[in-house]
Amino acid sequence: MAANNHLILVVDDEPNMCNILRRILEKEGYQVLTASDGETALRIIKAREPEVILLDLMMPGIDGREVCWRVREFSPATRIIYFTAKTELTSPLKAKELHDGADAFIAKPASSKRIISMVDNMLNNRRQ
Amino acid sequence: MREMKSNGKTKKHVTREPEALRQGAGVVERLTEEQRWAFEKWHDSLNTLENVMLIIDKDYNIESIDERGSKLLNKSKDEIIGQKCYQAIHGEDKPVQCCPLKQALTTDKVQSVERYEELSGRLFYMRYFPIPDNHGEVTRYSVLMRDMTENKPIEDLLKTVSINSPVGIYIVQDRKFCYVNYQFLEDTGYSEDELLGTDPLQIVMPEDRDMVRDHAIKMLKGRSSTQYEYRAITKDGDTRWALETVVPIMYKGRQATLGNYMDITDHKQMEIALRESEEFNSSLLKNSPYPVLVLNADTSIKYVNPALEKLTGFSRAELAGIKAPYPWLTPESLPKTRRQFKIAMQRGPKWFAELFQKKNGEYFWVEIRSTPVTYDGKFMYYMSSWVDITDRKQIEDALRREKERAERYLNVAGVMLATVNVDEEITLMNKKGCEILGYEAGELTSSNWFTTLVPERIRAEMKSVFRKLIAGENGPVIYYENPLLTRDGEERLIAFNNSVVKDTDGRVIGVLISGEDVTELRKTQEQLQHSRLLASLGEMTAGIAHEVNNPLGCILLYSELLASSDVPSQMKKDLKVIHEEAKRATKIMTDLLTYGRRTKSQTRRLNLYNPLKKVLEMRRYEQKVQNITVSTNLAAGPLHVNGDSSQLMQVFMNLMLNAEEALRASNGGNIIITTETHDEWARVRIADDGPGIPPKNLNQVFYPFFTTKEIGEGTGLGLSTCYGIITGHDGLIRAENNEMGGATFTIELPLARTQKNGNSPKKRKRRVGDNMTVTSKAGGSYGSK
Repeated sequence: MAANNHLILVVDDEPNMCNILRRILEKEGYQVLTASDGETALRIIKAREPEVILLDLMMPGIDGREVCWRVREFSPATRIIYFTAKTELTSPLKAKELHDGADAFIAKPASSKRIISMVDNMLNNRRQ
Repeated sequence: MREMKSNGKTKKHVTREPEALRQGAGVVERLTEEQRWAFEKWHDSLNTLENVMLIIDKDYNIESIDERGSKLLNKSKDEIIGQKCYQAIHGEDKPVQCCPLKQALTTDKVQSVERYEELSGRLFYMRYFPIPDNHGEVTRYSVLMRDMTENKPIEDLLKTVSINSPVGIYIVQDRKFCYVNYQFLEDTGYSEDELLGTDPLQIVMPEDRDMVRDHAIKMLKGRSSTQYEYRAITKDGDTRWALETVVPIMYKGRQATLGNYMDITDHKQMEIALRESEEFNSSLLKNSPYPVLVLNADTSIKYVNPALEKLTGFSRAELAGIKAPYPWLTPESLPKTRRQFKIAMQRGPKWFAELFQKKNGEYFWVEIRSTPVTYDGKFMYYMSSWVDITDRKQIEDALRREKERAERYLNVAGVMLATVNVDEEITLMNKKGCEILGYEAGELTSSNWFTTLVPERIRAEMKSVFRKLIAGENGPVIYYENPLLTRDGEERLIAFNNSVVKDTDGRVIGVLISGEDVTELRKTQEQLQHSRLLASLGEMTAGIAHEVNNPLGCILLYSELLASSDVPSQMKKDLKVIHEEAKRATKIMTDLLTYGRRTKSQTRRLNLYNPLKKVLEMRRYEQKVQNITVSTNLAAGPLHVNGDSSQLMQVFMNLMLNAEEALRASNGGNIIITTETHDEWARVRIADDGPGIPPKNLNQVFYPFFTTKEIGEGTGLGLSTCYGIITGHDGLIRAENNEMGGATFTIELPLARTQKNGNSPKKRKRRVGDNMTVTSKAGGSYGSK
């Protein structure tokens, strides 16, 4: 468990979700930023260049998928994890989503353990 | 009258009466011996004849009478002699009206008079002979009376014959009528006085007189015996037809002619009428536009009329006397042999159509009406009248071809087409209709539409609809759907489009029924509807799951976070409950999403037996405990499909649990698992012998949250999850009840292509509703009773 200053961005339009994810990850020693919509998220990503993004898909305005594509345009190395309750995004589509740009997928609801291990995993296999 | 000449000689006779015949005796004395001998002879013969002789003078005084006369009058001679004869004989005071003597005396002519007279009830022939005195003057009469009483019948007969004869009888002498009987007078209209002494030719029509004279002369001279006819003129000027014969006779000692005259006018008129009638009949036949043929009993041709000659081309001369087979018969014509023909001829009137051949080889159709003509029960001849129907036949043929064509059209029609007349009888049912209902072509014709085809429960209602339609109360066309019974008693749902059929006068003569079998369509539509319902249920549950998953995720994470912080142990326990319940909710949501997802999970080529065998292994112990026997009947070799092994395991597990659950109530039972391949499909059947699924539930077992378990025992998502997974694998799943009890769940999944092809199997073209079929043999199929 690498409790260092890795910067994680949590994007979710649900404030409670943002809050709990931030607290769980901070408790693990990560530096956590939150955004409640796509536009804010893109601004933060450009400004702070987080290493891992935990990205909800269904959001008002710019949705998660579009955020992912835009990030890939200027920062291909950023790790993006879809974290969503969106029903279509089940395992068969995972490959497609990854191809689209995401690196991993976590279905809501998920345990804190699964979230932390996924974030760790992403950081350990960071693209060079 | 030769007798008159011998009058003088009769005086010899009176010598037997000396007082009265003194003068006469003198005459006799003057006779020669020869004459005397003749006289004696005559006298003897008179005696033999038992005649009565008396002599009367011109003043009617009886001068002499013989013994027989005295006896006859029952008086003595003295009493009689000197009496007036009318007094002595008739008992009258003066000469009677018809007294022949009086007649004789009042005429200058000297003649004898003959008479029949009745005296004292006896008939006498009386003859008065004048007796001249020496100066030749008649001064007295001798009277000869002969009793003819015994001869009367013969006389009567003679009289009767002459009087009552229906034939006119006359005698002509010296070309004058000298005798005519009553019938002749009747026939000619003349009286006796008018005819007697006249020329017989006066009654003959002037034009015929020469002919009559010739005939009569020929007959009289024995040169002819033929009776002849002529026209006679009656007194009233009428013309009558007479048939006559004449024969020469001796009448009153001289040659005379006896004529037999018969009025044959009536007969003649009948004859003329008959002849005219025959001529009329034969001219009818001759001029008839219809060919007429008359045959004799031996089949020979007796007569053909000109119309027949014209039609056949054979002349009367060619045909006369020809026996069957006739020249117009074709090889196909019946009857073929003469014998058959003869039998047919005697059999009674017939009416038939036949194809014949003309002399020039041309064929023609005739309609023949034939009848044997009998007289007194005896077969006389056979008459047949023909009508040339060649044109009509051609039209009929054209009509028949047209009808056949129409029928062909009807038969290729993809819908049932039937006509029903106002008596509810089926008059037509096309091929498609027969197919739908399971009847042979034509089998339904004349059957009652309602009793044969309409199920009893709706029959009365349908009849009333039909009646209204016929009565024009429903408008020209009505559309409705109703079941019809097939021959096997099964019901088919038919969509009807009916219209009334009217004749040219606008009268309703029946109903044209066009019907489409919509049984399968309706079944499919129902399944589609059901399938759509399930799909929308899936979408809804997915939506719900998504909305619930976010807060659920928060609850899970917050409870985890809180539990990991420094909180009292009781609070930790409570947080654990919150966490567990949230996890349970998560599980439900996951199942719901599986049902609603309807998308394939990550698939790979796998052997369907692997997940199945894993599940069987997992449940073996539990099934043993529950007294459940599982038997398998597996197709050989692997069943390769493209699928998600864990999801398919979930399906088998759910189905197995479902079967175990069904058998629990009966404390065990059997589960039979069968696999097979069918076309490009793998089929797995899991059957139990439990209570089966109530028919009302068959439609609902795949709905999410549908359960027959007590609340809290199950989520009711097991089968709906199976449905979601299998449809996500492009397969189908269905539930049905076994005929022997219990339920069977069947899964069909597309077989994976061999490695070489590499591709997944082509999706079988299936209707929308097919991916979930709900059937129940126990519950009956669509439209069941």
